[in-house]
Amino acid sequence: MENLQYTGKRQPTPQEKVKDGILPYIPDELLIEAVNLSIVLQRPLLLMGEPGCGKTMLSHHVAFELGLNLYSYSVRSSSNLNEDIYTYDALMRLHDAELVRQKIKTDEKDLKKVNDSKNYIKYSELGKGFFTPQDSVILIDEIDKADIDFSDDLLGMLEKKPFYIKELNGVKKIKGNKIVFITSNKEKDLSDAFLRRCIFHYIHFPQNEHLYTIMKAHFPDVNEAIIKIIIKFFNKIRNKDLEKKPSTSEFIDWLRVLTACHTDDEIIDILGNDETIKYSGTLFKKKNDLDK
Amino acid sequence: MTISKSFLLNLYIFFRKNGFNVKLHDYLLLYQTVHSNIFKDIYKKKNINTLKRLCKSLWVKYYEDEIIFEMLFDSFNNQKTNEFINNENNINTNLKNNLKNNLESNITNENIETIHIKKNKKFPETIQYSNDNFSNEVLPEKIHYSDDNFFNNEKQKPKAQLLFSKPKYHYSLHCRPPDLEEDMYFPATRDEMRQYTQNIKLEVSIYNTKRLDINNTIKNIHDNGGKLIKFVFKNDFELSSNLIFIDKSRSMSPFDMQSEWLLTSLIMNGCIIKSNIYIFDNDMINKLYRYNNQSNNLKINELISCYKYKNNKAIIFSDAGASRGSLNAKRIRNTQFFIKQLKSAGFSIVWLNPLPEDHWYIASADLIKNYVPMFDLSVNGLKKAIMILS
Repeated sequence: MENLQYTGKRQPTPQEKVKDGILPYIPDELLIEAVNLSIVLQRPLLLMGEPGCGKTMLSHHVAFELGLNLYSYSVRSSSNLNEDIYTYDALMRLHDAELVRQKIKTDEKDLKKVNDSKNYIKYSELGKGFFTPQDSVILIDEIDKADIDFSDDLLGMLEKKPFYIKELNGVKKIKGNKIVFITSNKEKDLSDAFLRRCIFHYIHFPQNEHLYTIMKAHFPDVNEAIIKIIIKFFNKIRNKDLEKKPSTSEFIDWLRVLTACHTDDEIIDILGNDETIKYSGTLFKKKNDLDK
Repeated sequence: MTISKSFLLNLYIFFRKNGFNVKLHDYLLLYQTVHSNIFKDIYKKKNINTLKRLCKSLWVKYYEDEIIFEMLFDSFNNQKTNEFINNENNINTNLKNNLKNNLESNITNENIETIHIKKNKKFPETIQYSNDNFSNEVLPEKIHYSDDNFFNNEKQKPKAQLLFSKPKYHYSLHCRPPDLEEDMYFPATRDEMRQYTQNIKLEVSIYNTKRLDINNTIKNIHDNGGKLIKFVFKNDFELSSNLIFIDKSRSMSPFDMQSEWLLTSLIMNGCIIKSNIYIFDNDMINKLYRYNNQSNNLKINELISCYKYKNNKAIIFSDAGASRGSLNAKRIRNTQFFIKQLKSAGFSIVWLNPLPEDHWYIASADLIKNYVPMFDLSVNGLKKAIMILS
């Protein structure tokens, strides 16, 4: 694991963008340090920040840069760790047993399959991520959606303690190094015991220079001067008294629409019009903000 | 630049003293990271800025704490860097060993309060912390450990205090804003507040939220420091002309589902639009409980005294002793009295028995049915009951 170091410098080529669906990601220095600290200390990185700041995308980029498999798991309000790690297909086992009993399936391997409950356990993405022997990146997205019990149940897994599977009447060990990213929108508080095991990082809205680099990575063909003007205009919007301020991802969407539908001159005209903001639906998600 | 162990230790103590939520394992993790190659590998340079960044990554667990962390670290750094950095001998070696041993042995305990610093350990002259003289405004020039049982004694445990002159935005955090009067301060740290909030959420989910008197509950929490939360309920008892009494005694436990189903179907079908539902356990005369608030009980007399007008309806759902299959003279007398009270208040009463009629024979139910129309819980039984009530 010591060899793994995230630099944030490797960006996807146009082919990789199409093939793997990876988008450019430009982390700041503090975030890179936090990721590396998480890798070295083998502690999950708890990411918070306003929606659209790139919490989820970070895990994709880390997996891409380090060449590791990404196992992504979206937490639901009804998430239960045991059920979400694996499922036991008792019905299929009964079905197979019946076929063997009626001698429809006569192979010895069928008999062996029925006799071993291991063959009827299916691991979810989260389970695969933890139990795969290879190094892997695991994303546990929006942990605050679930009940606090879920995060507390996860503690053992995060500390790589063996996971008990009652159908096997045994434990499954967690092998390989895991880079775990946990995102939260802070809808619920997490327990101290859980926080203790995490490295915390809050992703702030990027500064102008950083925002420029991000936009340049996303839109390499767009005129630099135009990007700078748009950033200036965008900052003006963000400084307004809004219920939900547009974040980086909304800015990218807006810029994508602007640059796809208009020439540079038209964009300057659009930005010069103070009365209406074109394609404001991409920026504002609340009616009151739209009215402003 | 080398970062001395004493620097980290004093940094940790400084943060703790100022109420920052940093635990022993956080200090140990920082200690291990700083004194390993990890620090150099990740941060390339060892200086106060990189230490600050590392420290922030390891110690800050909430977004709001970032501001406090920055201010505390800068405050500590400005005044103490020169004293601590490159000064390995600042703290007595015995103390360091002793503390280190304690830290290691208590690593799972997560509780700094368990660390006991012995009397005979000497502290450096230049580093002195005084609990009493700890100013809210500035750090004292000389700080000394005045207590032998520095963290061991609950009474002597330093209070969470900020060192800043304008900490107005810290109200919700761990620390007590120094410009507030003692009695204005909400006597709970943020961790405690979070715990209370979770308790309240749990309790509110159990109780009917419409009945919870939020203002008085908050006042109660404020008065008691939140440690003994007593929920206050609104006195919004809305009298309904329909009463439902459900027997929840042990013999009725097999019929819990049926009672729920009965209530749901009666209310859903509009037979009973507004009802006051009461449950009782054996003693139906003296101990009637509101269905959604079982904290207080009332007597049938008290209940009946509220009814001044006629045309009231009551449904009793009970097995009337039929499950046990025996006669109970006391129960029959009580029931007789109970029904008499209801009738005197102008109630039309029906009794729904979850057991079929042939089970009522030689049981209290057999006699009780003489005082009140009793039906079994079947479609026919319900139809007859509704006919009587309507």
